[in-house]
Amino acid sequence: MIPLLEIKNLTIRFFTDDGVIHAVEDFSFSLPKNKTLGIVGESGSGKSVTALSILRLIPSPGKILRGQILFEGTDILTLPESELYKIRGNRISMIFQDPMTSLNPLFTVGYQIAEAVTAHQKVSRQEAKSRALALLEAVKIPEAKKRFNAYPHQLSGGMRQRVMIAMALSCNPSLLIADEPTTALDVTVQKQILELIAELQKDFQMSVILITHNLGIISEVCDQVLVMYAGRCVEEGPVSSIFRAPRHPYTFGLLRSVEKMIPIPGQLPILKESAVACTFAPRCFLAAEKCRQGEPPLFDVEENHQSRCWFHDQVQI
Amino acid sequence: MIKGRTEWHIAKRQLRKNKLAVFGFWLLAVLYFLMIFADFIAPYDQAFSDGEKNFHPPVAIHFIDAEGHFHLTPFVYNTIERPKFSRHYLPDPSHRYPIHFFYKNTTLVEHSLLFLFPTSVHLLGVDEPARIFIFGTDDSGRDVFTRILYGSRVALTIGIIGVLVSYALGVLIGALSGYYAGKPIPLGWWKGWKPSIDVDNWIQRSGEMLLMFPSLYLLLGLRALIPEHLSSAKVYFLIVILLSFIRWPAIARVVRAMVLSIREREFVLAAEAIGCSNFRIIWRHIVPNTFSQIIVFVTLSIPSFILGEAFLSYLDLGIREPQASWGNMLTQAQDVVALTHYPWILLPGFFIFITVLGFNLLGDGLRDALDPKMRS
Repeated sequence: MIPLLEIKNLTIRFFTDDGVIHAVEDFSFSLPKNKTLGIVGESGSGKSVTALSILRLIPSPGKILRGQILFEGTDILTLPESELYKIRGNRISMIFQDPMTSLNPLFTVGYQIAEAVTAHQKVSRQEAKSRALALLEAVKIPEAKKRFNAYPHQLSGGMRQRVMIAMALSCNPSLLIADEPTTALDVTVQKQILELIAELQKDFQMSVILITHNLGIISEVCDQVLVMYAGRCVEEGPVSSIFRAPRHPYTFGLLRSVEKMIPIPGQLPILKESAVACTFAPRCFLAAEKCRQGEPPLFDVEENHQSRCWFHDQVQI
Repeated sequence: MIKGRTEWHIAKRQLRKNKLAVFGFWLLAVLYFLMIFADFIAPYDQAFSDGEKNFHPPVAIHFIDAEGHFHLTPFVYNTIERPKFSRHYLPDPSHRYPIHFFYKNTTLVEHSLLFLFPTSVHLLGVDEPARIFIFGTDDSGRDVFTRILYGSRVALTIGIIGVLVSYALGVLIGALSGYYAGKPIPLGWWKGWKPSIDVDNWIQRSGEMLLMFPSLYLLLGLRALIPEHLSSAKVYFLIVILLSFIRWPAIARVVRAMVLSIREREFVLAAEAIGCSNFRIIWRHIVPNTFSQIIVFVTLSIPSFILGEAFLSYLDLGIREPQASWGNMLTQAQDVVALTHYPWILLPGFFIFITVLGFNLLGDGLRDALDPKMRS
């Protein structure tokens, strides 16, 4: 069975005035139907760029240098613009970090959801409106009828994120990309939104890519985890396996920083040339001469579990 | 749901607090009221002239007659030019001509009030041969007050129609320019060569070509391309088009700058992600977000259209007689001798002044009211 989404050797670079920034390097993963994949990493590790590349919305000066993004078997990167419009918001939807700024302040939320409906379906205004109302109810906005005519500034952050989710679901997408959907919300609301996403994932039978830097979120809703560091996948595996026994010192460091409040020393590098060593080596407690001489490949450590570390069998809790 | 105050509520309150802006608003309100009812309020019509009363000064309105009796209704005296052709007018106190309100002046052509109701009733009037020249007359004995009212129809509408046309053009071009800035549109693919067109660059550079010329000379030059003698209505639209043509680059530049910042906002990315077309994103999501600023620019650029029309008409290249326009009325004030002897012919200039003042006060107030940093 072909996976819903398969990314192969994706390489993205930003051609800025200060040089070429290697944002994503030789990145691959696959996502089966009806599964939730969590992508974790620090700010700047290339999570959002990867997500945007799936819709081909990388901001300029960014360019996809090579790779394939196969969605249901077709390569998104070779599609003409006109075909892309049919995928965006229709087959693949995305929600963003900050619901405060992701809604147009000039239109009512109902209008904006209806717009998302009419963007892809030939329905009458009345139908779009009733569909929008149904969506508002699906994302559990209380008094949906009243909220329908509210402007974004009249709603709280959590409600706005619900509206964004309603817009994303308007065409029954098979893939929902949630780019840090809870980062701008307070903790109690975060939990509600996550539960909502998990619930809708089952109801709408979609796959979800959840991007976050919060490991707690991953453990709650995801099936599979992918840890990104400096544009690379450093570890990938099932949630249970990774949380029980991380096999990359970075994942280990992330878990320890959450559990024991011990930070990982150093900073995420901004790569301007191809790496010749392990990118994590400068911050790694296991780093040895070998790490500085060559970049490790992805090792299969367990079933479905891979780690990009020479010493993956020495990482222990 | 939080019953929040919208941007407009806040702006309206701010505007009310600004005394000068409120003054500007009421100034304009009065002027527009006079314009709408011009043919009713004016005692004569714009073509009316009394050949025996050239350069007649404003008539004196009396309550007390020559014998010292007080009269409740104000009245005027007929005046006689003594000596002939001297343009000195002496009142003849032998007969009083009371001022009638809602006076049916059958000597004039019927006018249609609000373009609907044909009537020959005017707000004020006196019996012949006396005249009620509130602001005096010009060189051919036409009532300046009447012609100022009729002229306001040109001045007060050309500004608004002018900004509508020029801003429609400027926003259209500027929005395209801003949205495609730094994103050349590919034109296809041909033997390994990928031609693309940098819309932004083309628009901005051609706009700058127009901005290079001093605008008044450009206006005159463009006017020279077009036949000199045209009907007033044609000239009116011609002026609008000419002025819009030389103004769009400045507007397009401002709009481009606004679009550049708005297109980076997250809701634009969100709109792209739900599959909106570029066209829809520009017109439904970006352009409406520029409106609060555009309104300010619009208000502040209305005066330049009024002045532009007055300038062309003053040089006899715009609205022509007998059609009244404040600009062509001022043509007579070119003559310094006439100006010193008959200063009332400068009154259209005063009206231009207060109209421009009104728009500027209102525009300044709007700018402060819509700018969150200026709010108190």
